Amino acid sequence: MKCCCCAKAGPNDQALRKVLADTLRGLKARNGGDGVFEHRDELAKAIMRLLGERCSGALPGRCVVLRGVIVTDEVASRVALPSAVVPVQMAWLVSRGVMQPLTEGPQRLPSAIVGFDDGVSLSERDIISAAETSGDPSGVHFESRRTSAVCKGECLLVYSPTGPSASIYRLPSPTEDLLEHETNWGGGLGGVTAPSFACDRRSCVVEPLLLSPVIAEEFAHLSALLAASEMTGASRGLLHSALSYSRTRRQFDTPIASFQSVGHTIAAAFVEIELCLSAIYDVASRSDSEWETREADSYGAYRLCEQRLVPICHDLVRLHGASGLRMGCTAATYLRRVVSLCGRYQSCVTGRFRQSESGVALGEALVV
Amino acid sequence: MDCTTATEAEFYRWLNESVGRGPNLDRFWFAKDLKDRFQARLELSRLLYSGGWLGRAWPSYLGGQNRTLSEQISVYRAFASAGLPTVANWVGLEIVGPVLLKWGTDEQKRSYLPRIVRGEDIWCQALTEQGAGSDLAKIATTATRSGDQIILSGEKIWISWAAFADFALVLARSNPLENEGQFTFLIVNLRQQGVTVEPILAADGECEDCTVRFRDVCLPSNAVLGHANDGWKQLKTSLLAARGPGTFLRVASLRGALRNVADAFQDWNEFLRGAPQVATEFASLLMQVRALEALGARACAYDTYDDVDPLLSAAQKLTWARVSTDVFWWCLTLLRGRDRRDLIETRTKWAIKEYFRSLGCHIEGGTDEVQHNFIARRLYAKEINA
Repeated sequence: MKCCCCAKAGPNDQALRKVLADTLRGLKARNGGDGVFEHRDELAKAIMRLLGERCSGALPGRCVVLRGVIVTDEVASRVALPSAVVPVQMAWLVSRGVMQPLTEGPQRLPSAIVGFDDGVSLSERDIISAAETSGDPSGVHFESRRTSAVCKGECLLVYSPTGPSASIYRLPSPTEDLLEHETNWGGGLGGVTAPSFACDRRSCVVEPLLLSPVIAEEFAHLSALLAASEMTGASRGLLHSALSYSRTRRQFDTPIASFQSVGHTIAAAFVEIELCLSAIYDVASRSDSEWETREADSYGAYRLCEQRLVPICHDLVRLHGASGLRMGCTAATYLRRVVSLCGRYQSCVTGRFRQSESGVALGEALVV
Repeated sequence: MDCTTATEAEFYRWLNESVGRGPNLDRFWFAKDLKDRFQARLELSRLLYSGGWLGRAWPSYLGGQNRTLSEQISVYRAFASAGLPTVANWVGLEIVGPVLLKWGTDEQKRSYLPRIVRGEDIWCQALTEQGAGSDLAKIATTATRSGDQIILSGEKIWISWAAFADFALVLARSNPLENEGQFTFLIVNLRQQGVTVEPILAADGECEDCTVRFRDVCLPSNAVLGHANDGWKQLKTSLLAARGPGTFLRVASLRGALRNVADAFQDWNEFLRGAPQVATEFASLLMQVRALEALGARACAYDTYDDVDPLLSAAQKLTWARVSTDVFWWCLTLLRGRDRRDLIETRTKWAIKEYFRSLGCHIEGGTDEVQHNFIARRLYAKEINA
């Protein structure tokens, strides 16, 4: 078997994608129709199992980040919801030894690790504010604040760059109101107001002392990379939808797929998706082999996806005609997902990535 | 440390000891004219060969090292990181070489491949003609058998590096009266009687492309690459190699191009701090270049030239063309109008030439339109089969 770090996730990612496709097909067959969302716990546990195996036969077991981005991309391309991000995040935390696998027992897995303000709880202003309000060691308390968090958040990463530690808490109840907003056009775009709530110590999933700020920082990089791979996956789903639609849709007595401009739009989308995916694979491989800084790379990959994927998604939706914009249409759902993933790391991008630009300028990336 | 980084680390060590870094590389980038630049890059090819960094995927008895294509690609990535320009004999190494390896007779392989990898013979590829650019089936150059000889007649245009080349791989219509629609590749010594090479002055002021005329050129029968009438199959190998490893070798120079701009400033970092917009553009371009390198590595992540991924190669070719133009336009706009210190002056001239040259990237090896058509056809076919 090739080392994935050498092959840059070339040939071997297909095996992992096939396992995932089979898992999703099995879920659909067992639960009927598109019941994947209702049985997302089952999917999440399957993903965690897949990533937890030392060697899945597809890629070496140590490459958790690379396998994680492949899983995230593939799931996002096949089902509009749910996301594979949280199971991948959990698997990564398990691999770093900061939490026990949650695959057994009756407990539900979180569907999302939510954050506040711009990103996954990593806007420093709000994080520090959160840490301050959690002065009581028995738990954390959050005031109502605006968020662009994803749907049905059940866990919260509390990270304090000034404090001694970070931790993950299970929220008292899933943030259903966010789900409401997420499924409408406003959700994830302009931000919504989350309710005030408190988490007591019993709801702590990862103890503060186990999750060091260093690991929390790496977790943030991983989250940006996973968001990027979710964008490539959703874009790929949209591409498949456009391929299928353009083969069946007829105008002027011929399938629109036969028009060169349609073919070129499809091809251009493919090129951009593969470019972004390559960047993500590359960063993930480097993260796994720990031979290059991943901070600038992760946010760089995320920003590349923002810049290159959104325009091609607009084109792909446009290929569907007006029906592509109807609520509930597959194309619209994929586009909404891509758009809602944009700007999520604004503070990180403008802060950390911009800082890293100086690093790049200093020759970090140009001179080995 | 994995094997990729071990190879790359070995390369950096060798480069530091044998060539040097930073300003030591300037002579390979900047020269007073095309001829000087070609000679400098030929010297670079020979240096790299002496270090064992070229032809790694070729068999050892043909001057290679019996390694895999993916390992050669990882070495090319190290070229990129180190800021090296494209070597002079890239057409021979990554287009003609793979075609000869797959289709050449044993005699042809032994005669030509070791000299290509050593940088002793320069090759070009003569495919396009007036009126037969993307549509190569319309070529009019003919190869007609006459006893033991083959008579080659016709005119090729836009042949890159022909003015510096010793040999050309020429696509011709085989014996048109008997084998309509059949094509044959011929190995032609460009110094022989009946061949004329006429440089074409391009918008960048250089003459990289040429018109090559064949006036009843007599060739021996062993000038046929492999077997006669296999030209169309051989052409596919050539195009795949040109879009895959061939493009990758040229992608490697883009990072060096960005570094050339940074080096032109006394304190690049200080400059960027005062110009956040430039910093953002720079970071964005660098990220795209690195993504392009990763895409190329995925396209060529297999062991042999036969397994190069055609879809990813086409994507790589398209992206390379776009990013090349973006990079050199950015270099040009940034350098133009700055202080006319010597360093800036040299680099501005270089950026202007490279910018014009980059526009050709959208045409050579299959135009952007051809690549888009190819990708779309393949995707629709895959969708039907899925």
